[in-house]
Amino acid sequence: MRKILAVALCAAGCGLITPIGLAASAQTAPGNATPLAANDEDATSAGIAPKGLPPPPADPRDFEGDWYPFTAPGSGPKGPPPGNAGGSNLPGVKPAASIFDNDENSPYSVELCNTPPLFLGTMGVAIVQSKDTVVVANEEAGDYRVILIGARHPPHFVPDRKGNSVAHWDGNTLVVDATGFTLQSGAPSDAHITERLYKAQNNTELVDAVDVYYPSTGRHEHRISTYRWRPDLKVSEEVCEEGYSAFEIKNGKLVIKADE
Amino acid sequence: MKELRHLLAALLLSVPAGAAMADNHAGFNGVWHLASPAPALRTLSGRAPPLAVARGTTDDTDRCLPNGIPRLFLRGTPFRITVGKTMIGEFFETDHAFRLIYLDVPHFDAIAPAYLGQAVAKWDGDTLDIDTNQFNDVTWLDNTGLPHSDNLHLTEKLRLDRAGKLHDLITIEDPTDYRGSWQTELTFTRSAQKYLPEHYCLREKGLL
Repeated sequence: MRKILAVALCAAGCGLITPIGLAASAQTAPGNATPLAANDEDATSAGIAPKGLPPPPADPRDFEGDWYPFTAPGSGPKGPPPGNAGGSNLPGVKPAASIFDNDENSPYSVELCNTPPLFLGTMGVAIVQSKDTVVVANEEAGDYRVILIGARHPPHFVPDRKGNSVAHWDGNTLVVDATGFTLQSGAPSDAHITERLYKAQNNTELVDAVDVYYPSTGRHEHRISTYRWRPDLKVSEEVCEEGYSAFEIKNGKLVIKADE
Repeated sequence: MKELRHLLAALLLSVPAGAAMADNHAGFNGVWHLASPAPALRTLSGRAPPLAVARGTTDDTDRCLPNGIPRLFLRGTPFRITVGKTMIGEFFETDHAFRLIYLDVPHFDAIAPAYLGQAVAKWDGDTLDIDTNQFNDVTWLDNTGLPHSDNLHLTEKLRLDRAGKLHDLITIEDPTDYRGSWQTELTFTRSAQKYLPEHYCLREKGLL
């Protein structure tokens, strides 16, 4: 019932929330009125980002900026190549859907109004990076995730939906170790996630290679997501909770508002 | 010796200017909270703001809608600041909200006004000058119903003092709802917290 309600709520609200960054930037570039090359045939037919974008940081350890799935506007009609943010399957492993689904027993499923623990968004992310912190601001559901570099998991971390993420550098790859997850029910999950984040394609792509291990069953899952450097797009304010504005609480239950 | 000088020069040149700037302002990084609870905003002289309209009476945060800026600072919950080279993030416990403040760029077009507005900034020495516009008119400025319109324009001067406190001098311009611009200041102290607990209003209300 709760799941049906959630779907209904999302249909009422989430779908109405246009990603400002996407739509706006498809019209004008930040700071000027020049139309972007979203309709540039050369760009789109090549399946690449629009031309004329500022280059990404040359430092392979610098992940800061706006990153979008290959399916974002201006990325081309050929569809996402292998490794798109929507999930791709590595040979011989479980379908991506198994880790990005609505199974309430999965620690990855998207609960309304919070993002799953990993990137895994179908919308964009903005990464803000300092020397010892990487924060991933996720357009999807307007949520964020903090990764502390060089830190250790706290001994008394209270498990939650996004878990606790610490990381270290392995060359130019940021190896993230995440644990302390709960399921949607609030029950703890034993999922232990190792992610390898690195830039590719002349720093224009950000790859998130994920390995998930469940010690209780010995099961492993893998997934690769790839995002593209898109400084022309800005993560917009997505307020998932707006979907609830069509509802009200009566007698402790969520009901559709009566017509006024 | 000459080679050493060349090597040092090369090393200095290899550090991006932005990276150096970000390191200079690393003191802003960390978790902060309001130094003393302040449900209401007052002007710098301690007076009530020059309201031109009535205070709000319907608090949309009761329905889990966002708190907006600067009210998010007044909720008594901590927030994290992360200083990057091209942007600065304020990540709040309340509402799992985040505010991205882009550095050294002009405001860009958006298709709709936002609860937290759109923020750009530049460093003026050790002070971060933040300029925020493109707000919607849904949120309150504080917890007492201090309203604003979609003409709201906020400028902030964020600076650290020698004692390590963070000061946010806020100038509020909203010709629709106020008789003239006015200023207020919030002071934050560094929190011992390293991690912010998750806060999902909908779950708190038992809706998830």
